[in-house]
Amino acid sequence: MSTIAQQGAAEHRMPRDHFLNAAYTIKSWLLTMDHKRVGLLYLISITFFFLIGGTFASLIRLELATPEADLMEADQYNVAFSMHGIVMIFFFLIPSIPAVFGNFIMPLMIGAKDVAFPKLNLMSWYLFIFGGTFGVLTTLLGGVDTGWTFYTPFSSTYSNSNVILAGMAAFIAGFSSILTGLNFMVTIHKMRAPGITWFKMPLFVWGMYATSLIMVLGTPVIAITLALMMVERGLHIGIFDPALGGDPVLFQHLFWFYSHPAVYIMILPGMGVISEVIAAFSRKRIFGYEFIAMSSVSIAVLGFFVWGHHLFVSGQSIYAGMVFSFITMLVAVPSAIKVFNWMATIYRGSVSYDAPMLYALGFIGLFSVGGLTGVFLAIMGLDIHMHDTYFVVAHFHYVMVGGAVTAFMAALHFWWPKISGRMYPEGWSRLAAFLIFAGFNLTFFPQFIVGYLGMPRRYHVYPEEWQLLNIMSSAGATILAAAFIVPAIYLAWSLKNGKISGPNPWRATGLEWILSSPPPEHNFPTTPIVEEEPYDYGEVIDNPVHEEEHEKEREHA
Amino acid sequence: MSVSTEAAAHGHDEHAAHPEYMRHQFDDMDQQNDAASLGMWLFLLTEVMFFGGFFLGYSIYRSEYYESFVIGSQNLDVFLGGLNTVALITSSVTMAFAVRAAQLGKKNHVLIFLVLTLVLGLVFMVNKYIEYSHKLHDGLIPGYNFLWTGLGDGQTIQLFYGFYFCMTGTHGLHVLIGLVLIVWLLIRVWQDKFTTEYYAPIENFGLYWHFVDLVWIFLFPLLYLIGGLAV
Amino acid sequence: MTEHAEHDHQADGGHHAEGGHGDHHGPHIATSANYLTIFTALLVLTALTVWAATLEMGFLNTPVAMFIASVKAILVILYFMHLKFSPGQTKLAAAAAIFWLLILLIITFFDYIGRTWQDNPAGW
Ligand code: HEM
Ligand SMILES: [Cu+2]
Repeated sequence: MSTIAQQGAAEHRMPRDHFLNAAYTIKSWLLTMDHKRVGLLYLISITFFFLIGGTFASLIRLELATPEADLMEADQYNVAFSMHGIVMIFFFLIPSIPAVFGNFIMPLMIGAKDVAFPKLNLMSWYLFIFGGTFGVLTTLLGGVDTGWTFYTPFSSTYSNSNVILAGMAAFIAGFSSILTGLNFMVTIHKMRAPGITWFKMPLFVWGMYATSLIMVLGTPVIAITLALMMVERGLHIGIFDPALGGDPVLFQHLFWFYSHPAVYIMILPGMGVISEVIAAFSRKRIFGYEFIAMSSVSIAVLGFFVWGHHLFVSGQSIYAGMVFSFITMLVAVPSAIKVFNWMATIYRGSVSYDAPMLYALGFIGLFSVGGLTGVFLAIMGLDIHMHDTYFVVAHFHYVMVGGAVTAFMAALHFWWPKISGRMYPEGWSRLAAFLIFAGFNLTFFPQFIVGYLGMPRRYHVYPEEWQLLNIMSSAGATILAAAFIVPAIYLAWSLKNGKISGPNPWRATGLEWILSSPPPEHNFPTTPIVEEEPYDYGEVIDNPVHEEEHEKEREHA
Repeated sequence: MSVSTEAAAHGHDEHAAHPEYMRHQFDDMDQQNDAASLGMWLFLLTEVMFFGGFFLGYSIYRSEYYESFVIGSQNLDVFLGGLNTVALITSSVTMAFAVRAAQLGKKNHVLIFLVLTLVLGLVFMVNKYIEYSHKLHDGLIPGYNFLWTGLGDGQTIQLFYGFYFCMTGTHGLHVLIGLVLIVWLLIRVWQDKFTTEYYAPIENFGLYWHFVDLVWIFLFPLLYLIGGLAV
Repeated sequence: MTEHAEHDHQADGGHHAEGGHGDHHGPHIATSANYLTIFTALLVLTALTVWAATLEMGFLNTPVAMFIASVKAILVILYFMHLKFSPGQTKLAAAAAIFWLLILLIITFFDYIGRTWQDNPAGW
């Protein structure tokens, strides 16, 4: 397996001035108006939350290694999976790619000096941290036990845990997400450099646009839902409590009106990343550009019509259920379009297997499994059997970890040289990618089986005959945990010791790659003018190490 | 890839020519104003969805507990509600005039109209305060002390008041925030911060203020006029 | 307030992709008469809603009230908020707000109306 990293023999020097060495004070970070620094602030914050969420995951898998309750009681176990879900979804996965790479890379891709509202951007981060503080506080005070879904009336009436604190955490983080989405939409509409028309934008930018659309349209609804839930918990006026005349299904409608689209907040950015990576490492123009771009938008829009597939067994009207079931299956179409186009791009490409590409290939497979099992679940009759079993757990982990987190890792490895100016050790990075893939499958594939056999989710004990499958899962989780530590180490190591990458180690197209690595503090001295199509890899194949690149370097050195 | 990093050929290349109110990330005032306006509209879009959750909950329970909602509604003061409607609509028009004056560069008119808007907004808040304190006095604040002595099902009438307070409360909060922003705008106008080229803050605040008016336009009939008025 | 006689709106347009710059013209400045007309209409419509509420129209009361409110809203949006004179993307944002609000309301209502095991809603 050849890689691009092996071919790049040229020696590079670090640029003299870049955004990282522009200033070193704490203040220059905490009050920064630079989208690149804001992106890095997010990177640090979400890594922290990933650790917390991961710790809870480890506790869950540890408990489930045996059928009995040996590590935790039911109550503690409820806290463990609730905190795991809340932290991972609201504080890691939703901000992950948009807030880190959307912030860092997207403005560069469209040739902008910054996002449209840099102050607002920084404020989003502070809101995120403020919400995160509530999240940490919740954890320290004993956690919350409602599940990440906060279903009423348990959350509003019966739970004895820190529901309000956890609700506030998600509520506040929601505003961070709204403002980021708004900022990105305006940026993409208004800040594109001349020549970058809508259909010349890199597909990552399309992904960010579709994601922002959902953030802006959906997130306010979860905010109001959580607010109503908290009012109900405080006052008991019967908004969601059936004992007082309220309707808990209404809560579910409101909750999933946001939270189903929110799963696309998690996956659409990932799909954008994969499009970039696949094209760069196949050295081919992306196949079906318009289809990929449009499928992002149609996923975002269609995603708002399907939330009822979470309510099939909640007492929702069966007629509504039938319609939701049908539309849900439709959503799989644009997702499949993307997969086919990626395959067609790889086909007859000159493929190299650097770490980002390994993750991207993993993504395609794992996301396909996740998406297809989603279609199973969308079938009403089947879902009556599978709902709230481990089959659902496996489904959404295939899309969220196998899909979104894998894409995050792809993005991290793809743009790391751009961010830090250094390469990471190649062998290690590829090893980690393999380990993550293997560990992931070992963790979650058995859950499909055990779920199909009927093991319900959210219980800390289970019948003995399911132990083997659960042990496999826990073993996989151990590998997975270890596999995530490897990149953390070598990426940190590379900051000082990595080979200097030069502006464009992957010889990729796109405006971000013509800048020095790390990019200068002020992105483009003058607004660039772009003439060609995106993913213009045509010439690059014939002429692997070519003049043009060196010219660019001299320009920017 | 051959990307020219030449400056885009446009109007003023001289960086020195940029006025202080132009932010560095923009190329010219046109771009900045467009971005601000789009940003404001998108913000209002999120506000629509935010209130949408209330409206949904309200409509569902209203159709389910219609009788109780009628009883609850008939206990509200239509006169005060109507007065507030007029106050907000009038403040909307004074705000529109304030923006117009800003467009024309008439500082004094901007000040006058903003003050008028401020006063009308205050009238609204005072009215709300009167209404709320009546409800407090009658024990109609939802929660543990809710007290319903009249006809009908107290539990679901409480639900009506729950929505009444949530919706008008959130709306009132928006008015309050608006009032603070008007004061801030007044100071900025006073300090000559705006020109006929740069008055986007006034204009975008205007959009916000009209939106607050819009919400009330729906809240008034939904909350105060259910099931007809007895005359 | 500093007066800028005329600024070069058109002069430097069109450099940002096709991003809605081409058809740019200066800000729309409405006439006072226009605002006053709308204002009067809004007051009349407010009076109309209150009056309509006193009529016995059965199930029609709410639709009528909502219709009048919508007309008022449209007037405010088109004229006070200048949507009528705004660029396409602004109109799109406004349309999206209404569209998504309707998704939320209508689709949820589908469920409630279609629940065969519950009584139909008592009223409007
Ligand atoms: C190809 C499109 C997809 C389809 C057809 C689909 C379908 C479904 C269905 C029907 C359920 C409900 C299962 C149940 O609770 O009984 C479900 C649950 C879930 N899906 Fe998907 N899904 C798709 C893609 C995704 C993606 C891309 C993500 C996230 C990135 C995702 C995340 C989730 C989550 C988190 C849940 C469970 C939520 C919970 O109950 O805690 N899905 N999916
Ligand atoms: Cu879903």
